Amino acid sequence: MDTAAPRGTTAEETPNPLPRPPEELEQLRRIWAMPRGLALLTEYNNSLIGPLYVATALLFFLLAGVLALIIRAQLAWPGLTLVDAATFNQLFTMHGTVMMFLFAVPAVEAVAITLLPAMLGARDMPFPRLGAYAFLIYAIGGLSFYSSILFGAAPDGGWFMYPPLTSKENSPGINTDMYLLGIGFIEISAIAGAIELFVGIMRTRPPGMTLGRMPLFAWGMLVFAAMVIFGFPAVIVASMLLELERALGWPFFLPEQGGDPLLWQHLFWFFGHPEVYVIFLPAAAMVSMIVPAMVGAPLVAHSLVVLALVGTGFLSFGLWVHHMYAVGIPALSLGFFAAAGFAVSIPSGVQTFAWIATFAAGRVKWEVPTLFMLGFIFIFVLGGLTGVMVSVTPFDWQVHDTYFVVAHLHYVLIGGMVFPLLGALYYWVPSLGRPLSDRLGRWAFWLLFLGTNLTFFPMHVSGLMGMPRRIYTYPAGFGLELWNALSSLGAAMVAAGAAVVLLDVVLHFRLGGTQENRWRAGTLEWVNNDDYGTRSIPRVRDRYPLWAEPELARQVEAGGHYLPFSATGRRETLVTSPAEAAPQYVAVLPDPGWGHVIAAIGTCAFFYALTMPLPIAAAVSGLVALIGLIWWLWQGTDPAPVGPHSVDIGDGVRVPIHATGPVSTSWWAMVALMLVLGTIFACLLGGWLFLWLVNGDAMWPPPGQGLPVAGWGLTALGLYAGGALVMWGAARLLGRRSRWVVRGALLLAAALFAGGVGADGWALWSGGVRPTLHAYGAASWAIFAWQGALVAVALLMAGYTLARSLAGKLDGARRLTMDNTMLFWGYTAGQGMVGLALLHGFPRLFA
Amino acid sequence: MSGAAERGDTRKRQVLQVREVLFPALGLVVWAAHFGVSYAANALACARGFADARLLGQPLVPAVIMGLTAVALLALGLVIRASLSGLEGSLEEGGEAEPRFTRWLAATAAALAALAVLFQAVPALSVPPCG
Amino acid sequence: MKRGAILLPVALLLAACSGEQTVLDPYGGQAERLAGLSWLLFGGGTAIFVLVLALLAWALLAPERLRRAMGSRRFVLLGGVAFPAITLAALLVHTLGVSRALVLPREERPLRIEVIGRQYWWEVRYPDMGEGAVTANEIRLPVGREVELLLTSADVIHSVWVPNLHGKMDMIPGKVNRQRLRAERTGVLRGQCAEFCGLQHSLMAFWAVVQESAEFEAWIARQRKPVPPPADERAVRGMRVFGDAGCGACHAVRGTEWQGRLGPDLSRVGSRLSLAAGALENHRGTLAGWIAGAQDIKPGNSMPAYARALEGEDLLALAVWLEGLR
Repeated sequence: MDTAAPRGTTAEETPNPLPRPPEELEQLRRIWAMPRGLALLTEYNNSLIGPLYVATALLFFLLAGVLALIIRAQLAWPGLTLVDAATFNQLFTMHGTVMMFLFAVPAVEAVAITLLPAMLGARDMPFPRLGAYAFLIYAIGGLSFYSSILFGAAPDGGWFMYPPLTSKENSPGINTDMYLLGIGFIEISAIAGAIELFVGIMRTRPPGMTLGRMPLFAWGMLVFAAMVIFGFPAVIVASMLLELERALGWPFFLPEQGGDPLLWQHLFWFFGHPEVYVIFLPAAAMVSMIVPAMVGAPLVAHSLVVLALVGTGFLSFGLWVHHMYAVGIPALSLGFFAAAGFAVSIPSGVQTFAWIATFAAGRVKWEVPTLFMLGFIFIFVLGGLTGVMVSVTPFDWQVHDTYFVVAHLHYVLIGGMVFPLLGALYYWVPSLGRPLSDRLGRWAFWLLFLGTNLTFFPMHVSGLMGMPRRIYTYPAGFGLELWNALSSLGAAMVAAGAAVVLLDVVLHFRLGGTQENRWRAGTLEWVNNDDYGTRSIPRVRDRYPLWAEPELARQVEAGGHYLPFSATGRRETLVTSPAEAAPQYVAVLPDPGWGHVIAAIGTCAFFYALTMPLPIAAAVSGLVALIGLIWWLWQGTDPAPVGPHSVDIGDGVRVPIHATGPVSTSWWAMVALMLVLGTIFACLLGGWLFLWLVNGDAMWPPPGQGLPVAGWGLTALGLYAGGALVMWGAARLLGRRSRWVVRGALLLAAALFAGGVGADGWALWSGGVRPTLHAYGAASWAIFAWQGALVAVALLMAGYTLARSLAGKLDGARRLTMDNTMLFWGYTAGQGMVGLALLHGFPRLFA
Repeated sequence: MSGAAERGDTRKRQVLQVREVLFPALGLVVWAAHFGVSYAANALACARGFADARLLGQPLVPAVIMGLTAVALLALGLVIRASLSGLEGSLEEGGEAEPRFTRWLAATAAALAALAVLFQAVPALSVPPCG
Repeated sequence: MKRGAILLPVALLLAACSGEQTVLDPYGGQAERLAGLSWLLFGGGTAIFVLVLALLAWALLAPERLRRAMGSRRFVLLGGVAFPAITLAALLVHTLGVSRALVLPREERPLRIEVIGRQYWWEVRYPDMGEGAVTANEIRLPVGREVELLLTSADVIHSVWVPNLHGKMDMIPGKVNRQRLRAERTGVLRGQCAEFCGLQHSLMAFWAVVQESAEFEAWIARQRKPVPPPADERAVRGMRVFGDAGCGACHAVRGTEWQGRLGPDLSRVGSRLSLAAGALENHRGTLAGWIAGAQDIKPGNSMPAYARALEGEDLLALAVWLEGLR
């Protein structure tokens, strides 16, 4: 691939000759047509799922906003009794929880699903049913979760739910369980989305779109995906542990039984701080795309902004103890976090100055998106500066847990995410359908901008005047009345602004129809696209392809670029190499089906049944989810190679239509999943080590409990290793030896693994380790329980692989199932071995 | 080229490509390791009560952290050198072509990481370990 | 503690700068350092904010000739890397200096005050001042003397915060956190729980009274002494009601058989500045109201409502007796 070709060499030198035969477009339309009627639910196309996802996220924004209005009404004056204390606690908990989990993260994911395929010249996401599943569990689960407030069953421990307040003794109701389980599975949605985005951005870019040419929004979502993969597992582990403590009495956070409330805080905030950057970085990346278009000039210091995104993503993992400055951690440790907090501000400075420089380099169009960009800079910079302030440890000792922090977080979240999102709405809607109203947009902007400042600036003052967070009233006579009244007034303005946006969308937004490049932007999402994506996949030679090659849009729309047809008669997209975006193969995408829909319904029902708790309903729903999952996988995953062996996509470039091994997107997804599982495991190990640290060697194990029996441990080690080895052997022999050898190997491997997990558990039990007496036992059994869960999944995968083989759907060429199973088994065995080393080895060697 | 040799060659190229793509993360991984080990070392010293011990006549915890910092900066220096070798043109801009962009990103990310490592080392010079 | 008066807008803005529960009116060395740091941060932050907005305005509105130099990578490196790196490095050094000054103890033998957080009140003990130096919902400290707070919790996480004296420190069950502070002027300051602790987190406050040494010693001595016998017939009746209603199971009164520790120590409750952890004024009316209707005033707190068990004369007598415990 000639990635440095001079621009504008020849006028009509397109990869495929024009004009195209009319049957090609007909074929594309037919293949990508969405099912009608109820069957539309089976459609996964990002052109459908994306806008639905965005709409759902905006709905949650309004729903959570309503809760805030009630809060501000209650706090407008001292001593009001609009709601009682119990309701108030649910209100602020739900406001935070819904905003963070059901609005902010899903919203940026939704924008990505809507825009990225078009921006990257792909026909759809690489695992589109996974994306649809993620959306469905989010929508169904999220709405069910929200409705808990109507029954007084909403969580009420604050959005960070600290034990021991949230332990069974202090919060006996189902409110806490609603959070732990309800949010737990919404995390699954976020992680599924992250895996898909990661693979999509790295592997389905258009030919020639090297990493250096990739648009900043793709970079923002790439960093998002990586941060979700490494950051979200911590809150999954925290939720799992607290739920185990509440439901089964395994003590992790109870000091009387060797637990520590700070373990929750470390786990939660290890997730919680990256979470806010997960929300901010994609929004900042949107700004980096909107500003250049609004001034008609490329983003100044493009590469430095990429560096800033990547750098912020990493450094944000070093800030979590900022939220714990007052818990009594050693002073030097606090110093590390303060230092990291300062360091992370530098990349943000780079981005801010890059935007200012870009404004200076071009000619600004005073349109609605521009207003939101400027509003963003104003509000976010102010919030960022108070962020540096709260990073200053001694200062934070005064303002931690006060309204000063409430002011800071709303400035950075509303400024740093909501304003870019609304700007993005007004900016990108014309590429999807009818544009929104200019007049209403300006009204909305001013109401929101002035309202936000009026609501939240006074909170800096009320915080300094001693007003803590999460209080349902405050005393009269301490000077707090004025600031609270102003905040409540501002909230009304913000509500008005939000209402104007809602009105605008309802009156004017319509998907489809003519799409115009209204702002004369330079990136690919402005090329006309339909359900099939773009007519052909563009050849890219610049960061702003439409500016560098004015004919590009027309050529692409006429079908002149890559893959203007379907090679197999099925839905397809082009897979390219990660750095250079050289074409590697054509991936066949599945047909719409019910599998993922059933799986989504089953998953939601399962988690809610567990919350009630209704064990039988939970078991049934779990089974339904499993059946849906198997149906989903059976239809359309690991398809038989159909059609020609390879195809000429244009320019004489010939690529295969089927791929297995490390080049396949399936392999990459499995690796990403292993990174998630590994991070979950690392959090469990870290938790175990933390509890060892706070308990001391004398209590590890405590009197009355013992060490796991080494003999059984070694047996388990051998059986895990053996099982993985046999599975690896089965994968190698697939296609080279008879089917029965492979099937026998699968069964042997399963036996070995089952034996391994049995020995692993027996080593703990027979050694006298018990989960309910002390944190030592609880943490050890938690590690084993996780291992056991993965072994169960591994066995299911082996069984599924066996079924595929028996059905004639597995052979030397058609082997994605086998490869994924092998990878998963390798991981599970490795995890098991590390777990054994810790539980058996660490106490004997160190404690 | 025979089928197997071709597959092997493709596999090697794929592995190299993945390595190229992961390279930019290397400097920041060094930062993360420096951060994690420093924090763990201090937590261990304070929880187990040996923070007052001495290493080569210096208070233990700050000495350990200075040592970690030196190692981290050395590693980052190596990353920067490896990624800058053969890199022509302005260092302010990564360019569009590969492998220049990923190498540039690796170098600049390592530089940012070095700055963060230095920031993190400063507290060890002034704040008491466990106070 | 009402403050009357209409204040002018300017005075309003400065309202944060004086008061019983505010960061910017320091009563001691620690709070003074923190207030100074706060003003530095506000000043610096405002200056940088104005600078960034000015640059933005310039970028948008200045004639093209003058804007061109700004539209460059050099500008981004200077403003986005060099400037923050230098400023933040300086701020880091300063910050660490302040941290160091605040955590390094100055005195070998501070006056120790144990504060134990409970839902929703504060148990306060003076271990260095002898047997019986116990109170609740009020912390008294001598001016000019270094104090060490020993903080823990009996149930969930709470946090002690008297902004005029120092930043906050969390009270975590199973752990004892220490904070050194030293008040330099006398006065009555308000503190509040600053970690969400459940239903009545909003109504969990206390008064911190900074007194001259002599007054403090006298107060401690009085806390330790057994309570005086009831002064009149009504008080005698009240004391009897206290025993009959079983109050002693939760509440201790020095010099009697009642040593309960589940609720606040009531030995000198009459002399406290508030009731119900800062929620009510303190006199016989509010005492009676609290005893009768604790669950209406602070629903969900651990004090049961005695409205039906105690009525009329009994309730009043009890309130009178308690009021007399000064």
